[in-house]
Amino acid sequence: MNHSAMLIDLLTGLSRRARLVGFVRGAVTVAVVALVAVELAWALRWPLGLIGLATAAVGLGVSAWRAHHQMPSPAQVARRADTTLHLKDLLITAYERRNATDTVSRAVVASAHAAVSSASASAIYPFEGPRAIRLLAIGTGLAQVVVLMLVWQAPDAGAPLNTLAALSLPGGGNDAGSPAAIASTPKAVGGSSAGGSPASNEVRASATRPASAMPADAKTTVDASGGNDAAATADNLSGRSPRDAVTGAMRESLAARDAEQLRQATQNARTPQTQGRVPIAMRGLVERYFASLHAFRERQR
Amino acid sequence: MSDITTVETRAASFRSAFQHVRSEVQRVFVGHDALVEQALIAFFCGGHTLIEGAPGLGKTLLVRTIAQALQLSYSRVQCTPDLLPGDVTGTNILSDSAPGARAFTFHPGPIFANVVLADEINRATPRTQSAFLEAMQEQHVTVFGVTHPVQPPFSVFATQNPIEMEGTYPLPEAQLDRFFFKLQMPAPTTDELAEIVTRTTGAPTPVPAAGMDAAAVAAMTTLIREIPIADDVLRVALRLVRATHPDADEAPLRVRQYARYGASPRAAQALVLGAKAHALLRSRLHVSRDDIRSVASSALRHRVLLNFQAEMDHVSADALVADVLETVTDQTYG
Repeated sequence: MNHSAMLIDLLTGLSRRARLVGFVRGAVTVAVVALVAVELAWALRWPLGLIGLATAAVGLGVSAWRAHHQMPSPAQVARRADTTLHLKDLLITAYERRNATDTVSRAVVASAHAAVSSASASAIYPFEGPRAIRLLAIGTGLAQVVVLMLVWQAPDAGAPLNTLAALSLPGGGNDAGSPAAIASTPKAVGGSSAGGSPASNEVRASATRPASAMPADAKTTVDASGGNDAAATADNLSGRSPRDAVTGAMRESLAARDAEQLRQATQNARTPQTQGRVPIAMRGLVERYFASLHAFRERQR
Repeated sequence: MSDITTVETRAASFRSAFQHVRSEVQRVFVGHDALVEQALIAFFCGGHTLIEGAPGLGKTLLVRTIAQALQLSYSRVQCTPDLLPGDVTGTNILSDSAPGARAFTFHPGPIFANVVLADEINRATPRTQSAFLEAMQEQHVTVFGVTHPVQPPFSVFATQNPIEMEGTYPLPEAQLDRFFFKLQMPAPTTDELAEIVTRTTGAPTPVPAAGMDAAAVAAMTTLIREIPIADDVLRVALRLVRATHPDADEAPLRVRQYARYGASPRAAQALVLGAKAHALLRSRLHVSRDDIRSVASSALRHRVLLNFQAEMDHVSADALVADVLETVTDQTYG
């Protein structure tokens, strides 16, 4: 086999490696995206997580398609190798003159073959990307893994966020307008809170109950809040509907109570999350993480 | 011995011979290593060189030393306003051809030498300057209807002084384009000046040892032309040439603003041939982009014609060529 054929073989081999490197890099990127997407899907139950998962799936498909169909040509490989190995256009010259019969061209081809043979394929097509991208990917991946591990290792995994989600104010979420469902299936609304505390369920039941939809419970609620009978009577005498008077007072009472209960529920929700196997040093981080998730969700509303 | 080994031996011989000539020149001529190398590249490529510099910098000495080191025939033409074309090309002289018979015989002028120095060429009239044209481009001279070929290798080294413009006739564009390279000789550094004074005020100046003949030069020229160049690299050279044209897409802003005409196809030829020789000197049998860039200024600076605005703003052709190199490099290496 002459130098020309051997050179082409080497370039073809490098081309295959380029294809593999492209696929691996794409897969790593997809893995990071998928990790984030899984976390979002689990933590927020939000469409963004599904979009992220879909994006990751599409990315994996694109990466696989590119690896299969878009193999770089030998000329492109030669240019790349010239640049990375500092061969000063030796390979591209040799590739273009591979079929020439003059002695100088043959000498160039032989020289190029020797240069590529002695070079490492990983120097031309390394699996690792540029340093900045590499560090970013590793950092992102590690951060996501750590967070997921912390969350999954927690004894009451899943409860806090469900609790927080259930604390939405009337009219703010889908669950808010369905008190019947809440009343009939409180555990179902609690979601995956298998180990959820009673306090969490209690808060959820009263906070998600809209004032306008609960006349039958108004008396009980007002009584429980310390009594507003005088105000209700005054309203009744002034011609206003007793129901409206009770509702207005109840709204104020509920608003104040909701704020307090929200604070307590958040505190209660964080407590099991940051106990158990979660390292003490990470508690602050985890707390801030879930608080920011909650704030983000509230902003979305 | 295989063919490849033969080529490598020829390349090694090229470098050795070139290095010998350069070292012999540097025994006499102090400093300006890059300029010496480019002058020799132009010579071995079969081109002509225009050297521009202030008086007293050693332009004439450089050319004479190159001729001596090459062991080739050498002639010098001191150009003046009253120099006639016949003084350059030669003329027919009536002489005795046989007992009792007379005939015109051609008496060759100084142009019939391997290395011709046209000293202060811009002092000659355009008519005399044009006497060099045919020889430089066609490698022959026509006198009284008879064509006389010059003997290869043939190279004209012309010098001109950029300071004294009074009584000079700037070279027309057509003639400038005939020069393979235009080299600029700057003033020597302090160290170089000290070496010059030491050498010229002490023992007699050494004479360079001859180490080459016409056949060796021809072999070197042939080898240069055999060096392959990739299409990618060739296109870099072509883009450089195109970028000197004010109406070209590749032209940088200042070229559009200050250039009247860009480089001709001869510039591309000079770029590629010069780059081939440059590659050989760097122990390569192929041309790289770096080789093109190394010779670009010398090949392009005298082929970029400036407009009036450039003279008003004191913008030089070298500055435009630098812009071109920067622009095309960005496009190429990005």
